[in-house]
Amino acid sequence: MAVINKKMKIKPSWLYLNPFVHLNVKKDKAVLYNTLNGTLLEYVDVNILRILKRLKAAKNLYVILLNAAEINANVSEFIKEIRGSFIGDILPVSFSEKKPVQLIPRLLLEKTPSPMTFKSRIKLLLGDEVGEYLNIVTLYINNRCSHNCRLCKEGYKQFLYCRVEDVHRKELAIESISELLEQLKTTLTFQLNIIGGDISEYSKFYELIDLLNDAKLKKSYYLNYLNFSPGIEWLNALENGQFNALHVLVHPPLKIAAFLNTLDLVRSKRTPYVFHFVVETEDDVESAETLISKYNLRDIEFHPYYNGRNLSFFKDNIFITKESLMESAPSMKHIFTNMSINPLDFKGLTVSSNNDVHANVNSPRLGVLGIKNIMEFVKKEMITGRAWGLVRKHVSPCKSCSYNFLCPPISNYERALGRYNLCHIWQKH
Amino acid sequence: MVICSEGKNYYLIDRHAPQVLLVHPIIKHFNDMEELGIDIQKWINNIGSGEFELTDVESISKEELVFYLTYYNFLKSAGYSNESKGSPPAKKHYSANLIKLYLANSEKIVFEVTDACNLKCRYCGYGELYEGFDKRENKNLSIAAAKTFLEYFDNLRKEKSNQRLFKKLCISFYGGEPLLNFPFIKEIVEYTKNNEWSHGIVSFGMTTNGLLINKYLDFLVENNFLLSISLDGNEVNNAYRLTLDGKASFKTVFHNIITLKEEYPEYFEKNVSFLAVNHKKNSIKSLERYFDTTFGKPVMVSEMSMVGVRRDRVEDFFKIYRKVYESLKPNELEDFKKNPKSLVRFPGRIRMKHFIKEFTGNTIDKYSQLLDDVGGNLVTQTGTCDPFKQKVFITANGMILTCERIPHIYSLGEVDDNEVRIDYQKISDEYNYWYRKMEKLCKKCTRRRFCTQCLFHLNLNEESPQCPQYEDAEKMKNNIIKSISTFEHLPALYLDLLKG
Repeated sequence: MAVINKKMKIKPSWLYLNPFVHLNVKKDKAVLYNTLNGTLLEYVDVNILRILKRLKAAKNLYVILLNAAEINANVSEFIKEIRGSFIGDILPVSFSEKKPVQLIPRLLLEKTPSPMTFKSRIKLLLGDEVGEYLNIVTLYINNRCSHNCRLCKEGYKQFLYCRVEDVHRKELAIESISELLEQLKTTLTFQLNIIGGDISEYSKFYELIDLLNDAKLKKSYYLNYLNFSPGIEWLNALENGQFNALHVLVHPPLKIAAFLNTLDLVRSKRTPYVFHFVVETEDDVESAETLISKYNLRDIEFHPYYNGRNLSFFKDNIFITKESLMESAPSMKHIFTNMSINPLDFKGLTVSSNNDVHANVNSPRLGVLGIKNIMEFVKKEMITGRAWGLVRKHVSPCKSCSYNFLCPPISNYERALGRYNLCHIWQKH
Repeated sequence: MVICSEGKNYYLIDRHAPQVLLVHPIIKHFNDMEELGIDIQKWINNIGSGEFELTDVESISKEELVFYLTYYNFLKSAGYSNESKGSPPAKKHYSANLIKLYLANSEKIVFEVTDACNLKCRYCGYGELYEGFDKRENKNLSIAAAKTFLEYFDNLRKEKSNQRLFKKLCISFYGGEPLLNFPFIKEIVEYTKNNEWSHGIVSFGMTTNGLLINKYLDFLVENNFLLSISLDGNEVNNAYRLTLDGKASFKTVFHNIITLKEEYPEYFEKNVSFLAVNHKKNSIKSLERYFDTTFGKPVMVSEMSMVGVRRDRVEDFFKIYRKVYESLKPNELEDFKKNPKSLVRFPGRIRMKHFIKEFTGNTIDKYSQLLDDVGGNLVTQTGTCDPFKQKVFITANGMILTCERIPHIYSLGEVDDNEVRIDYQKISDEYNYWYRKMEKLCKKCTRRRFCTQCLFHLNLNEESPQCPQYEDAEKMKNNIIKSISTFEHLPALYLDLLKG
């Protein structure tokens, strides 16, 4: 730890923060975060908060004049801390002829009148190609399934999962999908997720696979492990196309015979596959890990599911902690992203089997497929930003938390649960 | 690199990091020592304890020296170093399809209604000081050719699917003096309004010298024209804008503008803007003051074009030419400081904005860039606009260009009464060839990441074209000092620029 030069202590000095430092001052708390080395400092002391508020003031640009009279023991300690972590420093005023400046971190989206305001994107995009803003499209091609799994009605709200909410049979017309594929050619869409219901029960499934095999997109077919009956032939049809992948959804309680049958089937084909394990408890995690190890599964993903009774499991495994936050070591670019857009949803649209189009399954409907070109929904989401623009500064209690721009983007868990503080940041939550 | 500003503050700068860091002056010493090959750690180890006097540092203890060396090493490990890490400029590569897509999505069609003009401005880009443009023969663009182009464009839009957020098209009328061929303007406006187009919202614009607007006020207002009037300031300032018989044009134009303002105050407020050329008879300050006090409006000031100046008239050119902005005098900076609202008119805004873009990492063009894995902004080669992406310019002779500021020798196609001829493959081949030609120079340039130089304003016939924006390390350093010093004088400008 550096020692403050004796002369600096008694002389008026410029106190400054470095521009690679993120400063967030709220009413009674403040954080300083060095984006280069990951050091994080927290302050609640009134005198320090006052200084930090002055540093944060637009007119000061991270540089303020500190008179000798202001330097008490707390302030002196604060200066030592920011110097020691390379967050800031002090310089004798006598060194310079003019107050120095720091070009503080502030995002400018060119052509945008108001930085950080997602709602002003409409002006930003006046001269932009909308097609660039669509990358991933998820199609719920039907809502039919012979099983009646517990997660059918709610799981999809938390992660990409099969869904049978409505007893009335619905499916996307193959003509609509064909028209959509044509429209996607003028966009930068590179991935299509195909999910149901049980997609193999889609009335023109083989025709659909042929159609999709011709599309130069990465196609991910999502299917519950219970829907892989022995002898199904459509898996062969997948092998006729490029860029296809199978995604097998596995949920507890596991039916081992069905699981092994599915495993044998997908392993016998050339199409790459990923196993997705839904977990609700520590035991589920353990069981899944046993299977993964026993059957040497390589491409796997875990999806914790909140069932209303397993909050403690979520607290232990999902809730954000300061440690996990620091491990993620957000860069200034991450912080700018957290201020502006939700990257989990950005550039993605979901079409339900009843033709409804959403930017996120938990956000309001953008419209109905077939009536308008898909790009109209991209435009609408660009303007309203209900999903793509949902960031922590818009929701309580995050908006008043000094960590809000360091935290990861708002997840579907938070949306589905209706609470945005799945965190241990300030223990009292 | 460590620079010392006019305010005697030290800043560590690295465009690859990128950030501008205020630092203790000792960092400058470390930086210099390192460049001389001195082992700083060894140097510190060899000095005794106590305090030391160094230039600009007053006194500093050994303990502080150790601290700042640790900090300096930390910054270097974080990417601030003297090593050149510039990536070569990304090669732009065009294809015929891409250029067709650009044209289909273009937002502006500018018709050079006529090459005739009722003024003979001393500095006119089509006048006696310049060469490289079609001979001015008082020729009008044919209405049939304009309609042929509009139909071609409409079909292209249908074929290529308009990708813009809003379907919109601005049809703009340019000259010569466009109002000398009013029948053309009237016919095209009616034709556009009376037909079904896939253009979406169509608006109209015109650049005029103002001599004839009094005759067509009702028409211009009725069709909601965005009107840009060229005027170089007051009667004295405007002295280079002469009529064909050599008389001053100011009084007539001024009278017409006042008439417009009085008869249609709301239209004047919303739709009228002013353009002025900076030269020896005016100055930025005089122009801003004049337009503000006389019309309550800002003015867009440009320089005389340096492209196509005749070699035998260079001396005459420089008798008139004045650079828009070099540096502001301290008292002028004080004026901006006293009135922060006036910052929008700060003449060095573009330069300062480029500085922010280049050295802070705070600027992105669009949200997508936040998610790109590549650090910082994309490297491009030259600042040339993509062909047709912004606009299409049709000359009175039916040449198709991508901009009215590009010499006619770079025509990209033709239109006549019956057909449009654009060879997209040829255009892409030519653009790719020109970029390859510039590659050698661009690779060496320190400004290459944020270049604004248009290719077509260079002499592309030379084997190795020279570029006025080319910047070596010394020039870059001086520009950085100038920019940081401006922010020290005018800190409010920084956030004002970040408002976009």
